[in-house]
Amino acid sequence: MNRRIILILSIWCFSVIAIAQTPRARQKPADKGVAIDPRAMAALSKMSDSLKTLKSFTINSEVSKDEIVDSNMKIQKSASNEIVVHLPDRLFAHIKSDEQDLQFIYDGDTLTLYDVAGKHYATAPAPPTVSRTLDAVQARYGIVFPMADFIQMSAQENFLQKITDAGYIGNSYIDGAECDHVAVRQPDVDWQVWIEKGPTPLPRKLVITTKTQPTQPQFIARIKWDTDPSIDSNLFTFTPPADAVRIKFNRLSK
Amino acid sequence: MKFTVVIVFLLFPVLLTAGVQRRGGGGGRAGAAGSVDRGGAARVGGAGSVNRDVSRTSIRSNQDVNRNVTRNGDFNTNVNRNVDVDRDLHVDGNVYGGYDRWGHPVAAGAAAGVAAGAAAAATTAALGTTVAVLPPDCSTVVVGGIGYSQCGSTWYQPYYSGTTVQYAVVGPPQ
Repeated sequence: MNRRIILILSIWCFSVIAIAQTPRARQKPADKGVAIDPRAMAALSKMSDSLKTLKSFTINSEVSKDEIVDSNMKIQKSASNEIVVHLPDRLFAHIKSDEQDLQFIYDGDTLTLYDVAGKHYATAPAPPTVSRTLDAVQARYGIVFPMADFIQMSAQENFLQKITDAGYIGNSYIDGAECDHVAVRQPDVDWQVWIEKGPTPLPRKLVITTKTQPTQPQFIARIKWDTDPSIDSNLFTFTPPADAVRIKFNRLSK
Repeated sequence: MKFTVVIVFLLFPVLLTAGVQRRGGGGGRAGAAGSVDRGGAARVGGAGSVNRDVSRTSIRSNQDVNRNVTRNGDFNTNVNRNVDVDRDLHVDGNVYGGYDRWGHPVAAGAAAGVAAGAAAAATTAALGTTVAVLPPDCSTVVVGGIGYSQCGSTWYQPYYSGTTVQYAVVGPPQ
């Protein structure tokens, strides 16, 4: 009788051990800090190459962004963004968020930030390209431009060299388009991108998880591209409305 | 004796599983104790950096961006050109109009808990302080092409902190 109990228990024991061993074996590569799935890198490279072929394009994105209020409650803020880019030196963006209605206008020489609702605008001299201007705006004024990563990738910047962990998650559908779902780890953020399959492998969804904050807020964008838009060149020139008030940018100290 | 054997058998997988979980779960937390990089760089350095954490919107770190900007010499590109010079007013982050617990900007008097109302707060506003919302009954005055707000005897200069308009208490513009 007792022997039977011991036998049953030992079978149970070894099955638990077997189950416990399996995930440990799977986790080993991640623990070592380097795990790059070649399928993930192949999809990312295709996306990068595709972005680099773009010259004139529009990006429409629907954005959700976690904001932490009341010390630890997540509120999801939304925004609809339209960005028109004509590389190398023209950009127009219209950002309609919960709190703001903003336009950025860049003509290769001057950058304007216009607060449509509040009728304030500020202008500043800008570097000669879209890519350098987006960086300068972030360094000088602390403004991170929506979809800046993909605009920068289209302007030849290569972020893929910095990737230390990348996984291919699988097949997915975003707004009806079949996509490759790829997940990437960096020290400060984890990010996921859904890359359309087929002739135009452009990113259709981006999720960024901020790991440097204990609440790990997320940024989510669903993205639609027009790679052959008809662009009105007046879009890149800002004419202040009569009742708009000019103000200044607060420059971050360096 | 037999019970001891049974107990050992029972404990063994439990210990083993616990070990696996410790190993597996620990990895992701590295770096959490470091400096808190406020993801919403739009609020960095401005009055709005109080009490609101937001997710980052770019996969690139500020350091990477700053490195590029420094390399290209773009931080101070043509600042002397006569388009517009960024404000040189130093705001010390002495904010008395902040955000409420739901993240909404609050007018000066309300945030400070001043029962007497905005007018009282406005008359006592110290130079260099910043608010996210103006007290009521202000008028816009343009001096030297730049807009100011006059609220009673107090003057505010609106400016962009990131993409958010803030109002700094200034002396009467000349």
